[in-house]
Amino acid sequence: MDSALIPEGVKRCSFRSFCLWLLVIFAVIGWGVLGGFLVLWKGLNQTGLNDSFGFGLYITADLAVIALGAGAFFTGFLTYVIGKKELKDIISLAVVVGFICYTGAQVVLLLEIGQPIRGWFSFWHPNVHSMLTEVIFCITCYTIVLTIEYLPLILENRQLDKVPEFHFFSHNLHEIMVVFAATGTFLSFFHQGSLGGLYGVMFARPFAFREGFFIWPWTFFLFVASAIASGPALTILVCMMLQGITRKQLVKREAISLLAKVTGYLLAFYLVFKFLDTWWWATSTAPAMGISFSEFYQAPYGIWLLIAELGVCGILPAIILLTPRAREDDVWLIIACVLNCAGIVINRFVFTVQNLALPVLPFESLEVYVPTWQEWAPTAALIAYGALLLSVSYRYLPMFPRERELNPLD
Amino acid sequence: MKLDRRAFVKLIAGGVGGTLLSPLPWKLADDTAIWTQNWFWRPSPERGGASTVNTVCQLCPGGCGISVRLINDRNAVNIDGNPTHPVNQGGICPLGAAGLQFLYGPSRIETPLQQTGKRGDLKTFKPISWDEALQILASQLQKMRQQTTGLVCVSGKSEGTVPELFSRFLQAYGSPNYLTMPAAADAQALGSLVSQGTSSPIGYDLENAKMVMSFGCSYIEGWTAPSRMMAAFGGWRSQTNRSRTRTVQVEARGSLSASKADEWVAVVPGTEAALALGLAQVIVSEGLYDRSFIGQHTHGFEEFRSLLRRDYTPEKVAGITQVDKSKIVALARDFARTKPAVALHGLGQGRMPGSVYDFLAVQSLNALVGSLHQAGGMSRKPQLPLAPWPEVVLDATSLRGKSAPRVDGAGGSQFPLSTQVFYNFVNKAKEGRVQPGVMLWVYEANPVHNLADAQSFTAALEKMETVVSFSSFMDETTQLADLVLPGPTYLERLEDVPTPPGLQYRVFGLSNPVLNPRFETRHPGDVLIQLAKSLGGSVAASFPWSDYEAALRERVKGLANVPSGRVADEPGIEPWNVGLGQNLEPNYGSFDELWEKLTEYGCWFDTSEPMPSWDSAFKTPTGKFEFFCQKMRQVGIEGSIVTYLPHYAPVEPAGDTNTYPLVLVPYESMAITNGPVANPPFMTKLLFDFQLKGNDSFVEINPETAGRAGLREGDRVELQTERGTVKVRVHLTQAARPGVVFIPTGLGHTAFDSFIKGKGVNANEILVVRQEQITGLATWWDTRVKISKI
Amino acid sequence: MSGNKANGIRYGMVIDVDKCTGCMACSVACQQENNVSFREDETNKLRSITWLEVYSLDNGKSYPEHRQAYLPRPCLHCDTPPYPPCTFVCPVNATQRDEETGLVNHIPVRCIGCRYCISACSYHARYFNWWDPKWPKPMEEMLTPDVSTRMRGVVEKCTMCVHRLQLAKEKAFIEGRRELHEGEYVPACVEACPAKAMTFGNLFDSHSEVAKLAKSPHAFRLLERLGTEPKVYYLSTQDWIRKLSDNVI
Ligand SMILES: Nc1nc2c(c(=O)[nH]1)N[C@H]1C(S)=C(S)[C@@H](COP(=O)(O)OP(=O)(O)OC[C@H]3O[C@@H](n4cnc5c(=O)[nH]c(N)nc54)[C@H](O)[C@@H]3O)O[C@H]1N2
Ligand SMILES: Nc1nc2c(c(=O)[nH]1)N[C@H]1C(S)=C(S)[C@@H](COP(=O)(O)OP(=O)(O)OC[C@H]3O[C@@H](n4cnc5c(=O)[nH]c(N)nc54)[C@H](O)[C@@H]3O)O[C@H]1N2
Ligand code: SF4
Ligand code: SF4
Ligand code: SF4
Ligand code: SF4
Ligand code: SF4
Ligand SMILES: [Mo]
Repeated sequence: MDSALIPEGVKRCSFRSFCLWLLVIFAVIGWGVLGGFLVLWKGLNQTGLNDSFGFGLYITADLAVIALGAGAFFTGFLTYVIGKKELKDIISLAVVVGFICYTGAQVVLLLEIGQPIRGWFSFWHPNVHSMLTEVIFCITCYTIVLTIEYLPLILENRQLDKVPEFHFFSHNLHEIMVVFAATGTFLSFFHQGSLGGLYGVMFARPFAFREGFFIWPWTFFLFVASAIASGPALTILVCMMLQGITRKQLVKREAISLLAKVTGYLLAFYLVFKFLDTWWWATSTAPAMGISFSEFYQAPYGIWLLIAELGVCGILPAIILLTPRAREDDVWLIIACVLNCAGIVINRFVFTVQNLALPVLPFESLEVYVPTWQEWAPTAALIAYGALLLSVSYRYLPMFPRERELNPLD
Repeated sequence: MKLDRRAFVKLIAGGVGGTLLSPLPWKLADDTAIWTQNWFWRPSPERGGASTVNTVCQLCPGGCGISVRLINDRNAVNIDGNPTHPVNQGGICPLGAAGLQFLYGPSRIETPLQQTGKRGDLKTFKPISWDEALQILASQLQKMRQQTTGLVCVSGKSEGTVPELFSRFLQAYGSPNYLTMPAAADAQALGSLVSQGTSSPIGYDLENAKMVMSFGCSYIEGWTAPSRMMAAFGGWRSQTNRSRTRTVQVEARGSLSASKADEWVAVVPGTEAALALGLAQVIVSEGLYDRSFIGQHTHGFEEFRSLLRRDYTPEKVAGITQVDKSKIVALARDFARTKPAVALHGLGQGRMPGSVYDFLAVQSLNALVGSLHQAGGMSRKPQLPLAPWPEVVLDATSLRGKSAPRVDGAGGSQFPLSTQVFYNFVNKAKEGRVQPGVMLWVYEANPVHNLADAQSFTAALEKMETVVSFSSFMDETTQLADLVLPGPTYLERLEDVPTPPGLQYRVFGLSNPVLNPRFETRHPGDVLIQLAKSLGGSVAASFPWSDYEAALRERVKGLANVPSGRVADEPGIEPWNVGLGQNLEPNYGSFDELWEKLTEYGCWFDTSEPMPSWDSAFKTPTGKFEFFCQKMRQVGIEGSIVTYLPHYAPVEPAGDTNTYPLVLVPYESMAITNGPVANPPFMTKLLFDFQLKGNDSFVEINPETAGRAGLREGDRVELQTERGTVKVRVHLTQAARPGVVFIPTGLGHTAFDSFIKGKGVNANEILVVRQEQITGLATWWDTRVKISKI
Repeated sequence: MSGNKANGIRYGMVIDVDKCTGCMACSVACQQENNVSFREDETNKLRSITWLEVYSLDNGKSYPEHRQAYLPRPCLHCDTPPYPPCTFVCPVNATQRDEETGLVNHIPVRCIGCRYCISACSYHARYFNWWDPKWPKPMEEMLTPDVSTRMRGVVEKCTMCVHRLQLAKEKAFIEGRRELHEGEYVPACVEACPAKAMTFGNLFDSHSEVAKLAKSPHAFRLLERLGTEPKVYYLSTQDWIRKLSDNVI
């Protein structure tokens, strides 16, 4: 039925199955839209947030998704700026994943602020000192960049490409893509950093506060490092998943291997600094604020979080990814990437939720945050939205340039 | 169309640049910014000129001066303390500060109402006109007067011209049954009467005391005049007060009053008076008492001394109160040696009469150290020099009423001393032992909610033929009324506020209407005058005034006739520093000027009345302060010699210790009002979530007690006493004495509006009332209770 | 205090915890003065707005050594150089410290409700409007026109009754004065306190009562170690209360 839209020379599942699959996705999105609508209509009282937890699941999801979206800029950087040609196989996928992460995050952000209709005030009345201003500016600009990077892919759709103007436009965009890749890298570097800065500058919150370099707290750099260490892992995961689902090889294994190797080194690099940071924070920063390291870990936000984040989801995947035999094995590679991504989610969670759960005034006690379905639903919808965009892009756009070559139709 | 790369870039750049250079996006953005900042549904308070009107708060007997801020002379938007008022010196309590929530509260009654259906059914209340309402009432009273004089009035206020008009109306009408809501003042009046020969209310010169020992009084949590007590406390703790006033709190609960005291003496609840006698014993046995006062101005000291020696040695008192012997001795020495020192009476906020002997015990401590009628000690509240009204005109019916036995048996053979025995009325009515056809008036009181053993009053109410409420709010009692004659709130009416309880100098407050009544309400004073006029005859003759204001002015004229006193027109005058017996130069020349200034500033005060000298103070048969109370014997109270002496006469808590192993004690706090009005939303907001959570209220218990009962923080429990059961949750705190359950009063309303209704439980539903044998005075301080997890 | 003028005005407060009777009149006065909204159920304390929150403290000991005290906490108007924790983070400049007076303001109509400031303030001095503020019809009449009502989705907090400063300045201006007398500008809570436990004034004016009290040996501030430099000081002679003011390992 939709065969006219499907790229030439590739095989896709039947339109019927595709529609059924979309139905599932739309069900989840519908649930998310309902939750989001309730939040917009009735206000944030629909969530589990309160005056203790100014930030919660939305922010955790946003931060995690943005970190994981870093695969786009980093792969772009490796492909266009460094010139790793083998990554051309996977770059379109990386861009789509990045686009999903950033646009999704912005929609959720809109739910998260109490006056969404005034969201743009940060452009109109910006406070240059606020890390959030930096974040909002950079995310917005980078989303524009991602859109521009995504656009040529869309225009390469079989029917759209027939329009000469579109063809011309996308061709020209391709030509200057290196400019966007560089801009994206710069922007993304800054806002990943600002997201870390967001927490590190809270000097009245001992759990989050970090000393730093010049105007940036160490979390600024740690967030950049952790994002580029985990973003490509998500790209790999998505790619492997697509290959699994379609039962096809879509990219050359070298591309994946290269990305996995780079991720391994980056993760190790990040962990070295993260451990140094944790050590300095526990023995110097926190005590100076009158708080001992052990006070930071109170049930249910116990020390297990730290072990999970840095051990199970940090050191372990780093070892796997740095061991050539392990990363060449698909199962190990997937385990490593899943753990890597989970580690980053835990990291963003502790900075968001555990940070706020801890009492700072000595006469207060720990609070526990329980999100409501109105928070889970849009978060789930964010994932469903990703699935939707990926499915549609895969079906109708030439996302994998080598697909035809690797899977010849006989 | 041919588009090369240059043209393409130009088109994009030109389009974007052009739009940005035009004013359009910027103007739109700015407009949107403004638009998104203003929402039409956001209330926009009326703007206009601001003015301030001084008046007096009447939400409790504290009598604070307040300044109400008005916009356009119409909307009251703020209540501040009036700095010129001597009682509160600009301060205010949370209730007073939230006062506008009563004025504008959703539970105000807007017109007279007649119950046309079943009592308590809000839907069958029919709004009627004032003419109709008064006519209904007058004709019923007229009819009743020919057969019986079964009119009973319960007033929440005991002093002031409006309560006086009520009592006057009853006299003229021919009913002796004027009752005021029970209070510690009842015991104090009787105690003073038998020991000093006069039943004037008590005044304390607290600001000049160097040591204050409170026997269970919540002295900073609403006892007597709350703002005055808090101001005094602030003074005691002042950084510049070098010889700081020491405070001792004797109480079972680690309340704020206890925590804030220099010393907290934790006693078994209900044994406060025993401790006082223990201290007295040490003071007497160690010869630390005021020899000149005891020697020349007291009667029965030797009998008292032998009683103390026999029953109140530190060992024995330690056994009763569970306070260390050594602590009793140390406290006694401290109290006797610090001069001036004063002991305070009245458990909690003073809503419970308690036993007359408890008062006598505390008073004896003041007597021993020579603190009676002395600076920094305990004295009488001076009377206001108000001009009297003409005598009530009595006809045959009213004369008959005057000598008729009271409905509560007060003054009769069972309770010869008492002027009222509130719970006797309640019990008799409940059991149907009052005459048929009684009409009950309720004024400034909400007994259905506020009286301990609340169910009994409700049952009593059912036996009344007619119930008339004068309330401004749809409270629990008013809900059960047949006829509602709503009065204006205190901010809409003229009324006098006489010297607040516990003061040592004279204060006359004038509450001014700060705005026009918002609804079809009528001043109860005016209602009574109109009612008397329609009854005609001697009743009408007893109310010769055109309206309430005329009646009030007549009395206030007396103030202009004394050569001392000032209208409080400037801040900073502290009457306790001026000194009692010192004249204040009046700042007015005539009555008219006085009245004008009073309406402007709201308060007149005077220090010219000295404390009575020891030679003239006592109007007893012996002319002395009587430890051995002759008057009791004279009126025919029989008993051993101990009966006539201050002693510890506990009325055992009801219930057996096996079924009810714990003791239940009510507590009061500043954040929950217990008066005729219910908590305003501003105050309910202040309650901690371990006091009220959702609609559940909490009782306080010690973790040890909780452990034994297998209870954890926040558990839901059932409290059972002989009176009934309630469901609450538990809050574990070391402030609670092991074995005791502390329950807050003032919650659990079933009337008013959605901001208060249904929040928590009413402690009064499970408190068991016991009465003292010789006076009939009620106590409900301690009740045996069983706690079980649900 | 770098970034601040050496001898300008720094409005601040001293609260004597020993004098405080825990009556909470200050908190009610604040609600009335500033049109703070209220709801039928306010028992979820993490969603209830009280600019001046009164905390209940205790010494942790067993009966009868147990003692309690109440600690009123307005916004502490942190004087942190160069920015207080909360204003530093606001993306839209909806909250700033006025360097003339040291007062930390907040403009609800500018606020986008991101709650970053709530997260940054360790004193819980900021409150979010989780619901549309609504007043039962007759109670709208008691709203004061001096302070705007807020809307759902924005933060609010103690302003040190800055509108009272404005009124005092206007009065002074009419009388031809440029400076205010001590006591001319007093916040509602301070004015209400029946125990006179709160003192307000210019901390930089060494003759002022507040400056003298702030230098008392019994004076302390909450969480001094964080370097937030609060302009609200507390007084207490009791060790256990002072110990509860800061975290110490
Ligand atoms: N206490 C306090 N004072 C304030 C403010 C506050 O919030 N509180 N707000 C301030 C602000 S923001 C403002 S804008 C000012 C407003 O202050 P003003 O400008 O004084 O505003 P208005 O009270 O509206 O008075 C305007 C006058 O113009 C008259 N008028 C109306 N229409 C016309 C017309 O077509 N032609 C002419 N010639 N006259 C007309 C009106 O009758 C009225 O007398 O107040 C300021 N003063
Ligand atoms: N009923 C009625 N409505 C009117 C008007 C009227 O006369 N009557 N006038 C209209 C006019 S002319 C105007 S301009 C608008 C004004 O309307 P608004 O601007 O909405 O109201 P304001 O009360 O003036 O102040 C806005 C907010 O500023 C904050 N604020 C106060 N002082 C300071 C400060 O020093 N710094 C900062 N950053 N914030 C501060 C306060 O928290 C307040 O909430 O109202 C309009 N609406
Ligand atoms: S103490 Fe009583 S009189 Fe004074 S403000 Fe409070 S309620 Fe009113
Ligand atoms: S107390 Fe909190 S809200 Fe107030 S200035 Fe300090 S950080 Fe900001
Ligand atoms: S919630 Fe409002 S005031 Fe706070 S940081 Fe966000 S925009 Fe600024
Ligand atoms: S200074 Fe004003 S705004 Fe701040 S707590 Fe006090 S009354 Fe409220
Ligand atoms: S008004 Fe004064 S005494 Fe009452 S709680 Fe506030 S600071 Fe304490
Ligand atoms: Mo304006």
